[in-house]
Amino acid sequence: MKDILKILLIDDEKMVGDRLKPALVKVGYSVEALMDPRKALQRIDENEFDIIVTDIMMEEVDGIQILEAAMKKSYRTRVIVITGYANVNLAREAMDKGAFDIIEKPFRPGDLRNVIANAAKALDIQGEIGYQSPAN
Amino acid sequence: MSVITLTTDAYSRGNILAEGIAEKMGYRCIGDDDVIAAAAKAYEIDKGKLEQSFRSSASFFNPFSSRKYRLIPLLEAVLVEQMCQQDMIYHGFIAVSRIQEVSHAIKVRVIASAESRMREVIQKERSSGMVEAKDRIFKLDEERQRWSRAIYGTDISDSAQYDLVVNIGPMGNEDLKDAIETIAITARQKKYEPMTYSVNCLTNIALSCKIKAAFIDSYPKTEARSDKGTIYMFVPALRRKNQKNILVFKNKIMEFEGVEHVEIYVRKKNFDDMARGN
Repeated sequence: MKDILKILLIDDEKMVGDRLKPALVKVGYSVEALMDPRKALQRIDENEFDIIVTDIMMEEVDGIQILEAAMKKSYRTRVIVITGYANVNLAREAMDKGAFDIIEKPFRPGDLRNVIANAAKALDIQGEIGYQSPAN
Repeated sequence: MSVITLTTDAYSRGNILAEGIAEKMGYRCIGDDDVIAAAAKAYEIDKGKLEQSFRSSASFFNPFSSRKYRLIPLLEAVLVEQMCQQDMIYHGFIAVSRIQEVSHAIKVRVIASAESRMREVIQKERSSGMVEAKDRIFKLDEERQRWSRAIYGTDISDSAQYDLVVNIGPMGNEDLKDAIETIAITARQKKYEPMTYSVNCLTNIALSCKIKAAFIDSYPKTEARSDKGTIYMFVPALRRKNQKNILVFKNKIMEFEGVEHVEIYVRKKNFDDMARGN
């Protein structure tokens, strides 16, 4: 049986989840999209996700807290940070705290799929998780 | 690709350090001579002339000759391009200010004691004594400061520009391995690893430098900024006859690999230009 990559997508902008979730589901990933970062912390506590994609600037709980919680729960989880406010300090802080990669918004869904494919490779998960072009 | 920049004052044994770090990290070591050779090849310019312009002394009244000013973008273009292609350590200060935002480029400054630098001058240049050596160091330091201020508007000795400052003080060559070890340990930290964001930053800078260099003769006062395939060109006020050429200019930029869109803005003369005598 093929492994299905479990992804948690966290962004308080509805449009981001609405756009990215179908793009990831389409290539065979199991995706849970949340807009409330507090609920996301709860889900991280309850479940072990393969990959977490999180925004940074969110009210009440920010992406760095999500990253820390994810790393505390499982070092196996790969966290991909997506942000419209990237800078050298933030990038280094996120990497230092265990982020797998950082992508600056705006980006194309294909850019995220490529980074997820790399993360999946690092997790050594085979099967449906590889990046497929939209033509496939 | 990981990048370490190592900026030292003259006669501070930067070459020994850079080569030691390169060997330890398995990186390629590049110095200003390599950058000049690569630029001469890429832009089909006589290497000797490039070297002469690069090494030429600045004067108090003319801190930056227009020839030297036109040369720097060529050197920056080839250097940043190489930074995109391989793990490397660069010993020098060309483009170091340009890559401040690149998180996987660790900027290291090494300082040495005046006495050890004077000893280096005496040993390498067969200088007659400490006073002469001190004068030489003072002159070179002052020249580099002017150089850096004129082209980048920054002070090369300002620690705030660097991620790591290492004082090798009066260390003997045999003790430099400790400094090499310190730099290598720092550079291996996860926070200095390349990521999509930082690689994109460097790619943007490389393309900006490449375009600026390509038009340095025809549009020397133009600045280029690249962001994910969009090129923002900042040109001085255009004369009416030149306005007709703007479309040609745009089309030429569109020919560069990675360029999807070009926007041109007219900018007014600023104080930096005036300081450069433009």
